[in-house]
Amino acid sequence: MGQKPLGEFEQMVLLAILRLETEVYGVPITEEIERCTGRSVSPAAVYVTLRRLEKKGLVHSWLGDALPERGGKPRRYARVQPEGLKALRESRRMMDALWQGLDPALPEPK
Amino acid sequence: MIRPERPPRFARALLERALPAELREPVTADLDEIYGRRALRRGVARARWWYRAQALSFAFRFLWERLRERTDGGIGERWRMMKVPAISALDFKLGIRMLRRYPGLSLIGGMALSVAIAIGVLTFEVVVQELSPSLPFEDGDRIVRIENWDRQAGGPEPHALYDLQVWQDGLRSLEQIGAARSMERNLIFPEVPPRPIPVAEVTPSAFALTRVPPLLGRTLLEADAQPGAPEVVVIGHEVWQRELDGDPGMIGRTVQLGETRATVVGIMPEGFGFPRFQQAWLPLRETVDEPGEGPPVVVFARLVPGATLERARAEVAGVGQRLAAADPAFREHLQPRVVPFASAVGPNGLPIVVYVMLVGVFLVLLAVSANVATLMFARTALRESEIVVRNALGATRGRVIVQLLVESLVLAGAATLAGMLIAWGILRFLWYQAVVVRQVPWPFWRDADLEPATVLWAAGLALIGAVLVGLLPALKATGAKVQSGLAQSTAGASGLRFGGVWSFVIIAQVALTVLCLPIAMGASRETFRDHRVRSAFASQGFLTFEVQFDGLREGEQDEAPRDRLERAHQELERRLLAEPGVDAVTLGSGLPGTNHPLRRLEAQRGDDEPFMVQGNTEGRVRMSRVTSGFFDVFGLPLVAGRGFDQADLGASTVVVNESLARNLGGNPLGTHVRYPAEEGEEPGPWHEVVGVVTNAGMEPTDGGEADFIYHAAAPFELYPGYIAARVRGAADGLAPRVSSIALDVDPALRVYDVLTLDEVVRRRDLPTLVTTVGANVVVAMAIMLSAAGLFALMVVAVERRTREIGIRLALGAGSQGVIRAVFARAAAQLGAGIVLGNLLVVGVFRLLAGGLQLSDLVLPMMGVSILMTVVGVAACTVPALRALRVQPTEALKGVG
Repeated sequence: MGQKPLGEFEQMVLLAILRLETEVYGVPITEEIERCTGRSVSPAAVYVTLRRLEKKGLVHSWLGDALPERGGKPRRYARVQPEGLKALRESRRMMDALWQGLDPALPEPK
Repeated sequence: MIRPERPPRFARALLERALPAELREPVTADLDEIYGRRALRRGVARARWWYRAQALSFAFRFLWERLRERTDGGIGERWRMMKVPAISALDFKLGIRMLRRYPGLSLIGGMALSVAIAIGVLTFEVVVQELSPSLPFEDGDRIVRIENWDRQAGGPEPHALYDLQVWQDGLRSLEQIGAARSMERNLIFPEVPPRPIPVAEVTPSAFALTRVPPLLGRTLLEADAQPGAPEVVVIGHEVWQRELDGDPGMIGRTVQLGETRATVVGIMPEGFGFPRFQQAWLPLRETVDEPGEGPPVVVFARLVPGATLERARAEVAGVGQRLAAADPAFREHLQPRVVPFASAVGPNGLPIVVYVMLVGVFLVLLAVSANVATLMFARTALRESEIVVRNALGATRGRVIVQLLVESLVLAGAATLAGMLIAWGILRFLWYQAVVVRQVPWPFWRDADLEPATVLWAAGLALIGAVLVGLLPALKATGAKVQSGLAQSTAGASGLRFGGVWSFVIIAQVALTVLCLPIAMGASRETFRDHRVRSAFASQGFLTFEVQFDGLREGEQDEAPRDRLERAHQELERRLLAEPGVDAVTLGSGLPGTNHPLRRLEAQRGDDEPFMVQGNTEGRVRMSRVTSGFFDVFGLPLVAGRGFDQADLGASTVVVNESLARNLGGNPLGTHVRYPAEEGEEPGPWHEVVGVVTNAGMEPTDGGEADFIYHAAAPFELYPGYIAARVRGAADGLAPRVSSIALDVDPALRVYDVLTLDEVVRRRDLPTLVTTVGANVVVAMAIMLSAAGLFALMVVAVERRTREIGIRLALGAGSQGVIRAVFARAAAQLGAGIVLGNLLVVGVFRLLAGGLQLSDLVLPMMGVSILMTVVGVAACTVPALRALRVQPTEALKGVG
């Protein structure tokens, strides 16, 4: 029981990065979360979370090449680190443990 | 692919400041990407609002993130060690609760503060936009203007083409040095009504300098600027959309600008108007061989990477010295300089009026804050027992002060938001009036949004307002007498008193209101009188427009363009007269109801000594130059002598109106008049008065119609001038055809502001009406503050003396006696304020209107005094009734 468990949005960001595989930067991460969850996501929340995850060592980011179609500005790409994968698996394990034995459809409260 | 306009500037600036350095470029580019998609899918307006919301979201989230990181140690630890009372969210919650609990104070104080802050925000925005504007280009702050400042003329020497060539060859700290010549030309395209548009002839480096790529096609190339190259033009987005239907097939088609036919090679994106507000760009081909030759141009450049403005200035100064050594006569008064491109600051720095305006803003805020502080003090006085108990339970003085300050900050913060909204609304209204209604050219770098610096200024005003409003009441409420206050509060009395400071504030507020009321009433009376008088003129039957002629310079001596203009004007007049309903056409330097220049006048009768004429508008007379049929067209009959005919062109004859004739005295016919010498110049020639015309009735003054003097002039002397066509029936029916008629006569004729005369009058009066209404709002706010201050004083008085009132009533005192005893002080303050205010009125009017008699002021002063007395009494009514409802038994128990 070392690191603090991941927050819900932190998990979403990490999972979105993993789902995207290539060209992973702020815009597609935001769009992937919106597409999968069906809810509107603030780009600011995504970037703040990425920064926080990087400080925790769960994500690594780097600047790409300057792109003419972006006015010469680069993209900041992100990749999940092994510690990030480990943290995701631990979060999944905790949730699975809590869900175990429960009907996934959730029965009515008595 | 067509790219949409740039994101909102303020939001972009906020975003860049909020982001850490390593995220600035990638995040802004990512947001631009999303913004572009949203603009295409959902429209630019919605995309802009989305962008603004994102900027705020980023600012808040990253600020919070920084605070979290810092309070985990470091600054947070040091803050705690200093034992400075922490501000918590609870303080803000209490502040909001106080606003709801005292709605009267919140409303009045909030409104007053918001008006003061709106004034401050508007003033600062004007200063920032005028004096320190930022260009919306990449590294826009590195784009500069190079000019030779003429110390004698007080402005730049505009004929700089020769020096442009020298600067291009000789400067190393500046690159992309080019020039632009501004003009207006009719845009002529098949099936499109011709319209004058602002055009620039530019060196092709202008586009490389701004780094703005075209929306379609290309920008100008060096090859386009070579002599003999085919004529090409780049068109602006607004003209492309409005006149040319946004047709993407415009590239390669031909348009006509005045007399120039050019092939369209490119379309620029929305918002591009370099150098100022241009909408079409032609190549600048002119070169000169001597200094001072050529058309007026503005020279621009960009600082090379690594160069500073100081280095560029030093280099330009060095080149200037070499040029001055070679040609000292031409350059004697010239001072070469390099300035940020859009800056309007002269070499002597900010004009003194700017400092006066900013000081004035602080004084307004100070005055309003002092009044609101009175209300806050009253509110604090009513909560004295709460504060005393908190102190007794262990709250430090600092803690209580911080809480009271936060309450003031909540009020000031809400007022600042409201003030900024008011200021933004006024800016939008002015922008709409100027750009949409009157189509006044607007510099492309200006918009109707507040600059980031202005928003920071507003935040500063909020903090200052909060301190002014909250600090003194907080200090008083937590002072050394708090402990004794504990005993008094249990006895049903208050320890806090409205001492000398607050009494002075109330008296001063009442006095200022008494002073401002007559001024506001007088200004309102004048404004509405002028509008009423002008509206009475039979102006519906006139269609007017301003007309200009390409290539004709003021004071033109060359006969060829003058002859061409004369022929064009005669043909234009003939064509207008041929239109159905038009029965007369005339031309003048101004029209009845438009502004005319004021001049001093000297007169002489026979061989008598010349004397100065005291005109009835600021001691001067209004001057107008007209063609011969002017008086007949406007139905102004002659009352003496004769009007103008062809023989008067170039002759020394004038006609005066009835007002000026009365002013000259006796029989004005044969009197000689001239314009006296001004600032070292020679006096003008003498003119003989040959006629007196009836007053037009469109220029009222306190002494009746303004004095007018008319000169006969030929059309070429009056361009740019105003044409008026008298029309039977609806004058605006002719309006849509005027531009086409003028274009048909000569493509060099440009027509502006085609309006009926009553619309001209409305537009002239609108700014004054709006200003008068604004001034009345400020005066109403001042009355409200006076009433609120008195009300607060009364309420505290009742609270403070509850026990005494109870005893008096128990001993059989009548209601009149109770009111007299308790409210004597408030009545004294109201009376002192009214007396002081009346003394100020007398003093100010004596100072400004030396000949005014005191008897002229009696009625207005009485009226204002009665009004303020009524206001004061009304403010005291509720507390008075409250006092009379005090139950003696309850009061004696010590419950207030």
